[in-house]
Amino acid sequence: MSAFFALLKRDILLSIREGGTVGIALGFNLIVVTILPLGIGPDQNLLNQIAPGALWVTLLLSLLLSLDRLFLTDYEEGTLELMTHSEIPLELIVVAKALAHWLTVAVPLALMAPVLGLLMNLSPSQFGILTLSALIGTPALSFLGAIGAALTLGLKRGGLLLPLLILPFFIPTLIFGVSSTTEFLFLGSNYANSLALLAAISISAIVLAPFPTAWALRFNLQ
Amino acid sequence: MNTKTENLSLWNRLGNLFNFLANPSQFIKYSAYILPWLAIISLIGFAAGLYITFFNTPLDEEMGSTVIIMFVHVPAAWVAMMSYAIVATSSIGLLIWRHPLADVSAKAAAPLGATITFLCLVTGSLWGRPDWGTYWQWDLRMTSVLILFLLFIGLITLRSSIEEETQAGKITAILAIVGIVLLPIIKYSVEWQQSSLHQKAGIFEGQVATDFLIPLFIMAFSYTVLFFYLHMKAMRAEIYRRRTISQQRKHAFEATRKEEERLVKE
Amino acid sequence: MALNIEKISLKRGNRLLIKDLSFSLKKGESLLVTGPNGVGKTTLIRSIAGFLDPEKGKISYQSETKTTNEEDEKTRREHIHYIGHKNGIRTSLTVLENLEFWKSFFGSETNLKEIIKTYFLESLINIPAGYLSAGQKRRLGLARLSIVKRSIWLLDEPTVSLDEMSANIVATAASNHLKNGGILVAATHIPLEIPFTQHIQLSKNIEQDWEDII
Repeated sequence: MSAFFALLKRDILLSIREGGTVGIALGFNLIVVTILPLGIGPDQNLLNQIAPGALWVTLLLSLLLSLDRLFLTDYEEGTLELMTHSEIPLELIVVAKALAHWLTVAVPLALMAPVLGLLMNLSPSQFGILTLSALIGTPALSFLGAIGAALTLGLKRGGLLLPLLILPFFIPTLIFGVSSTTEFLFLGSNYANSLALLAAISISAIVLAPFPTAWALRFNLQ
Repeated sequence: MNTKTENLSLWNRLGNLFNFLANPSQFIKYSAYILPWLAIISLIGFAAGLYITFFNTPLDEEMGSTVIIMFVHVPAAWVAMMSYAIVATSSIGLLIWRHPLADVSAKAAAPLGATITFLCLVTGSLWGRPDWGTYWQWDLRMTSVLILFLLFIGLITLRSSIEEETQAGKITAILAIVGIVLLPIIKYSVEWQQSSLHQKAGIFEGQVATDFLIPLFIMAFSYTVLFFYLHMKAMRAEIYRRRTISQQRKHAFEATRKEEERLVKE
Repeated sequence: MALNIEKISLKRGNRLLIKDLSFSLKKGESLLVTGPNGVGKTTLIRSIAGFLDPEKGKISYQSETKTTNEEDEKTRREHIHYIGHKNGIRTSLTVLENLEFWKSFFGSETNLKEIIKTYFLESLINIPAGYLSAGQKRRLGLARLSIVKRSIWLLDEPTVSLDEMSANIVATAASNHLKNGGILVAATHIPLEIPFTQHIQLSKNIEQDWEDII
């Protein structure tokens, strides 16, 4: 397993050093949430109402921006080829890379939620659920997104095609993420069910998504 | 002992039959015989189905004459789902048995599926206008069909953006397989959202009268036959296209080689 | 360790590049593959490395430690060193960081200092790999061969963009590898100072099979 942790460590180091990906994702999320109230008007109640949906949609879109880079540099520089010759199978390499993506892009996005909640006129006591649901839901996005990144790897305009292929697969996460937030904020009903379903989707994605991803990577290395 | 050998030979015979059906050259031959029959059957089916629909169906009290749209809309939804199933099974066939005809089948079915899904969306929306008072409703069925449509579009664009044919087939096949695993989950989550937030009943649970069922099934049958007609036709076109490309490449290669030989001689 | 190639045919698109090629390499044996560009040298190396499956025929790897029900895939993963056209180095990491990554990725215990010395990288260790010249990058890529011991080396044009002195480093490393019972397959059109035991000359005039793609 030393290969797994070596790769994880390297990818985290690279994301700190190269920086761009996280910065773009965070910046994009902030700018969209800034523009939204300017577009629909500063009606406090309305903003409050649409906050869960709006914040989850911007989260999906910001995360998408960073996905096309997931395997691209390693593919172009030839590192991906060499990684297929390691003690661990390619599927686990995919897990390490998607996990690194989650840690370096999705977690910062989730931690950013309070700032965005503030802009959407939520009260500080309501910030917690935003971060919590984002933390539980985003692993599915990183791992399902890896499938799309692998499918579009060899393409010139892969980054443009990726959202079209992958956004439909994000729908379950979006629905349960929004409903858990809405239930907590407005309905006061039991939101544990939605969170459990959100977690179930993330776990299934972590377990299943590496297989088609590795499959697509192998085809791309042919 | 005796039965065992018989079973084996039956199994072998099935295998031979499959090999025969899946051989591209044989496919070109036998599909030429099947195609006219499919065309005739679907024509007769549509004529009969539409006649019954327009002249022999009692109009629904609530919905009025707009119920006729159902006979165009519902079969389209069924065939849309069937065409995705065909894309997915062909994709599995390609990745497991690496059969080129499976790739041809998947490639030919995707645009047909997209078209019929689009037809389903348009008719559904036209039907919804008089009934719901709006062209679009985020109802479970319409949402799922829209997502199915997006998946078809994704499959077609992904395939068309990969230049190398065999590579394009394999990569697209993975997307199709991932899609068939995720479609039920997406549908379930939309259903869950509707039941918890909107609480809305389906369009016709338990409302379909037997008078409606007969023309509905005739229409569904005709749609299915029409789909297979178009699918077979598109597969033949694709096979011819690939053969042409192969011949052109061969030609170009040999021309280059001859030129090189001439240069060496001079 | 042994490498067996049985009657393989390799295709690129619908062009048959290699037809019914067989050879086998045992401990300490090496194969040189030569021929002009576009005859399938790279395709051959890549198929042995496991990136593409042969159209027909079989590639098998036998290792002493291989258990009966262990698949070829795992043997291949754990015993092959592949040096392709790309160097496999991350340009935003320094030379030392690149080497350290490969060391921990391959779970190796080697002393990096010696490797740095052998491949003449001492003065470069703290420089981001992106700033290196083509030859220096190639040396850094090749240094991977010495980081972890593996029994099958597959080298595709290893000495491209290398000066004579650096090419000699590769030749020495390869010769030592063979002395220690390793297997080597190298494709190149530049002469290499390695005592090859077998030689395959691929030529452009092999019969081109234009089998219909369907």
